[in-house]
Amino acid sequence: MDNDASSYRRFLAGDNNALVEIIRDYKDGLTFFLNGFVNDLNLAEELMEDTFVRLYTKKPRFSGKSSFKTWLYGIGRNIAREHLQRERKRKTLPLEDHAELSDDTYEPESSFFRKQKNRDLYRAMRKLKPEYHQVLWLYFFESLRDKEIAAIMHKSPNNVNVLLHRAKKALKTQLEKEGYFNENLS
Amino acid sequence: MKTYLEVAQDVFRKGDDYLQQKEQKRNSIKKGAAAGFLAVLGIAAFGLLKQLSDVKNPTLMPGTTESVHITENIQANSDNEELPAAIDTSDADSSQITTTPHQTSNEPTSGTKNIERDTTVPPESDQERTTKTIPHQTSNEPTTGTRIIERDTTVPSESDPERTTKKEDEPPTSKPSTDSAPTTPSGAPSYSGSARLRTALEENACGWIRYNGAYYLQDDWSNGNAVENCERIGSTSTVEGNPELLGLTGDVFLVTDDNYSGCLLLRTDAGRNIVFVRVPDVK
Repeated sequence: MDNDASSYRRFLAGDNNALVEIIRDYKDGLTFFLNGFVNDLNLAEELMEDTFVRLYTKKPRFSGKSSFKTWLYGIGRNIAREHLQRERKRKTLPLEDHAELSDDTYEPESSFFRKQKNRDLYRAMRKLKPEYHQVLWLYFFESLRDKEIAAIMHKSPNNVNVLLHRAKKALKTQLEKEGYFNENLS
Repeated sequence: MKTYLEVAQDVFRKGDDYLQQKEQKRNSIKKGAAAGFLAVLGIAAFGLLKQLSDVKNPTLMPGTTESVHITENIQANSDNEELPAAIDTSDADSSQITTTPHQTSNEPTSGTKNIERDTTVPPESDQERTTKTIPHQTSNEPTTGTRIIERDTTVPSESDPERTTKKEDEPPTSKPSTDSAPTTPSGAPSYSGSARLRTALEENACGWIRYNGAYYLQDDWSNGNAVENCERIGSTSTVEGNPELLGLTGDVFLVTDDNYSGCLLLRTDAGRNIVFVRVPDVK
């Protein structure tokens, strides 16, 4: 994490290559995290780009109070929420319908899904509520602690723990529906 | 899914576009603000000019009395006391120069001078002119201090609309017969004193104004800018081709039109003693 923070400092000093390094390290994880909001990987990829565009244009200050990943995902979360608010104002499609529309046309090739188990897990997660999807992504795939998840999701750690418990339960139910048994989600 | 290099490329492209749009927007806002500022400035200037115009050209209702108090600080020029009574006219070209006898002696150089001028517009029966009483200064009047000019103007009635509006610095419509201009041995007129100055100016069919304690001529009132056709000369040494004028010191004003024909040289020391010289051919 320190490397990322120092990369960001280099970027603020004018080294655009440092931003390229940050994009390399975080683009996949951020995309899948943001997909928990929109449940559309193409759109999530756009939001991921928007997150880095915001870093590039606004150059927000990183205070170091949290890890760089937590801070970056927090920015991504804000961008996703802004997008959802705009969409709600346009009254195009409800978020639930949005989730149903985006089928599993996307075949993840990143390191997150090298294992078949992870791919199946992610497919099941995408069918859950967005909040469950987000918290499970941060917990299983980003390996973040409850405090870090709480910072990203703007919730208290206790809320995150409750949310995580319910999300695991829902995921287990979903996996059982799809024929997976004895999954250890603890 | 894009590679990180493709994502980085898109990020920089989108970011640059955003920054460019932002800069353009900022520039347009600046231009708009500048245009707005200029517009506001113009409106303010117009309002100020209108106010000044209203002050300069008050419109009086018939039967009302206008009282104008003008107070100005006058700084006497010590050089003025040493002015010669007349310029040496022995030179061949001196016949074109008119000089003014200087003020009498024993006058203090500082103090307060009050000039009261009552201008009453008579009723309709007297349609010729207003009556203005302009007392001349006494020999013991100071030359430095505060001068107060009071003028009361009563407008008679609505029957003579042309006379209901009076400019403060408008040349008087009447010429005091007692202030006819004396002449120098060369035959050119010579004037002394503010009233005589006014008479002299009237004789030359010129408008006049007072500005910063000095008198200026204005040959075209429609111009609106009192000093536009006036050129101030800081010292007589700058008057080329007129060695006769070198005897004059203090503030000297060359009042001229664009082609320097029919120039008038005007000098005032605190508005009290005025040397008024006709300079026909200053080039």
